[in-house]
Amino acid sequence: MKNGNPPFFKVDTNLASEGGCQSPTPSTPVSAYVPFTSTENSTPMSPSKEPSSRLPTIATISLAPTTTTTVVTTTTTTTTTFPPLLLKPPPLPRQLDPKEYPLADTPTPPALKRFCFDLNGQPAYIREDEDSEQQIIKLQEALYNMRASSTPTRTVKTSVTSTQQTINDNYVDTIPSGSGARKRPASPIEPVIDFSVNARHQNSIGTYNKLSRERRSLSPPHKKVRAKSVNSMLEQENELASQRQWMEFTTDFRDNNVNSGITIPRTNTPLSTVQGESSTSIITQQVPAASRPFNTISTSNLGMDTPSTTRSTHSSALPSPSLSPITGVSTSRNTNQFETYFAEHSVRDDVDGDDVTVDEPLSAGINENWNLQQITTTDTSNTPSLWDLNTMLTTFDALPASMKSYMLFQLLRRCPTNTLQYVSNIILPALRKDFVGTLPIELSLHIVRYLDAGSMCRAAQVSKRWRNVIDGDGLTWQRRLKLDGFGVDANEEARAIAENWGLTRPIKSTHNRNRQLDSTNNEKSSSDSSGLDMYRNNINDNMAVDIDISDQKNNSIADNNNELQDSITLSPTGTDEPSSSAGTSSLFEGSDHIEPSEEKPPLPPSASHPYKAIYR
Amino acid sequence: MATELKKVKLTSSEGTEFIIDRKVAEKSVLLKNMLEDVGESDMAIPLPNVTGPILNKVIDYCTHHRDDPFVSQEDDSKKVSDDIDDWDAEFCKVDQGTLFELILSANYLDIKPLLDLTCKTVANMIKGKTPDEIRKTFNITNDFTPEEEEHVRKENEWCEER
Repeated sequence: MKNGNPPFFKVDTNLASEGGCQSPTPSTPVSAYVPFTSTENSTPMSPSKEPSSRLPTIATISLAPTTTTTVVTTTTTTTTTFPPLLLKPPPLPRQLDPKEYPLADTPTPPALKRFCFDLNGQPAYIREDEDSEQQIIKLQEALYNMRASSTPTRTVKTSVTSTQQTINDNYVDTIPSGSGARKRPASPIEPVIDFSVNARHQNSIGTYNKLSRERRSLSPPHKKVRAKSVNSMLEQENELASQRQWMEFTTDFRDNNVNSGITIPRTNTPLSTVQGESSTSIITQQVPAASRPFNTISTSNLGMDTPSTTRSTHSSALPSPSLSPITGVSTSRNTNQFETYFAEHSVRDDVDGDDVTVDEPLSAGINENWNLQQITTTDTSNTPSLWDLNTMLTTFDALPASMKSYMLFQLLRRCPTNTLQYVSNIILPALRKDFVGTLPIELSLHIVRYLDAGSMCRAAQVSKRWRNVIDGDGLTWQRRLKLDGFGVDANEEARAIAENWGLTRPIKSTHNRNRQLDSTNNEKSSSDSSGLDMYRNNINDNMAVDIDISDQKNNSIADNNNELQDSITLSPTGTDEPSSSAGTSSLFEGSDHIEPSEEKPPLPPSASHPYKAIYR
Repeated sequence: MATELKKVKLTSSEGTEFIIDRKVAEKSVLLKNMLEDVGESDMAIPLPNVTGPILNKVIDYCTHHRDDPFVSQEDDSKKVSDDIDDWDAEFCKVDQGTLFELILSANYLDIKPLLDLTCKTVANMIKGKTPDEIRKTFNITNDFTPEEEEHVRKENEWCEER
């Protein structure tokens, strides 16, 4: 391409420093431009000396840099269809003692059998098949066979391989020979597996639209013919810039892949054929998928493939005896890249050790921790690695709630009894609820209504809140005492007062209230006025200590006593109130109870106390 | 008969849709009234206060008890908590959080038998326990000072003397 003719030219070192005029026609084919005249330019590229018989005239030849910049504007739409990711059940029941692993046989709860979750804005589906038994067995055999032939048993690799393939095409194309050390000799053996499988996806993978995304690519000299056909020229600066860009890109790519050494030989692949045909897609079909694989993923097919489909993937992959070490490595690396998305899956691979069965297609993608994952998964042995733990946790954190439930369920199935008990001890206390304390009061009372008197008393000692709920409602106590058969004799009330059972304390004054209520009570109690008088006398006689008692008080107490004799439970609320306050205060006064001001809320006199006291 | 075959769509708080028989839905007084008010409609009824798993449980209950006679007002004398049949007892073998939600949902949906059942279940968890056992059962902290506790104990010790 560059025609220098060293034997015929001499470099004039004096003039070389002056620089020279460059040719204004950079696009001219080199062969047509062989300046031979006595221009005084020299380029370091073509230092030449003219041997001459006469006086040496100094001529330099300047070659215009043959720069061909190709601008290819291509939008690549890569639709990657992921094969379903399979989640293994725990090792077969016979391997897990049900006594030791109580949950090993537990069927997946219906709610976890089929659900959809959001994965980076894309729907992903989980599905467990009902009639998977037969499939599991077949799948098992296939897997064992795989293992026997010591082929990597990787399930997910198809579409990514092709994507990466194109990337690597570019990589090879555009990386100058300086990085050629990485280039492996083209292996005649292509990853047949992958392409045979890829045939399914081919149409979706290789869809190129020339629309929006702009990609500048450097076409190195040896690609010139192809580049020319694209017929867009740019300045040299742009070229360099694009080259720089490209280098950055490839560097990024390598970083992403960690193993920068992947260079898949590209010859003879279907994809390179495509390249040959269409110049527009030469260099460009790759990039978005490489730089942002997740955003270009269409997961419409995720998880919807049946296990049998996947099995065919396996079987087509397996028998390929021609897998060269190189492609084998690259394939497994491709897989690894993929498995980082499906981190949970690979983690489980490694943790489990033996891959017995695969029954549940899982599609999940978690975009993180490439490096760690890479490290762990390139290791084809199934030794659990400490790195996995970190990855597991990070992955788990990133899962949506439904997926968390599912994964946790799968983990629990693998846990022995001891672990389950431990987990249970952690979980159950955390789920405890203070029903009476936190439910709305009417619902708390609904619960309390079912308690017997003894339980009510004990429950009232649980906490302040419980005490307020239980003792705060006299109606509850009335009902309960009646139901529990705490009957009263006709004379018991009088006896209680006469024998000073607990009503001897001065009654705290609630005059106004009592007066009001008394007026409402008068009519009712008037029918029994003789008894009322008797009580009043009794009280007056017996409550000698009472310094504060008034007629109203007596009335009030008598009224209530009256009613209690008639029926404990049916006392109208209006009359219930004063009895509570009066009776309670009589109990509380002078006892060693806490000052109301000390408590928030203060322990209020319980409405039920008069009853309790009376029936003691 | 025609009404029995009608379906009702319910939507839980997170948007999960449940399609149930109208007869089942009518175990809930709230839904019953709503359906009567709305009349014929295919619109899903949103239940923003009920989560999917809880609604699932409630529907289980209503389906099982769909043919139970409607009890308008329970007699006070029936306030006993040991009349829970086997299915109901099994139904209530859930964690306390779920039971809590069930009580709230039964109250919200106005399903009296379910509310009674769940409250009885809680009452049975309280019965026969000492205050300290109750605290442990429900993870309650004792917020009484020792003096207060002693006072409350004395106040309630009468029931232990029987």
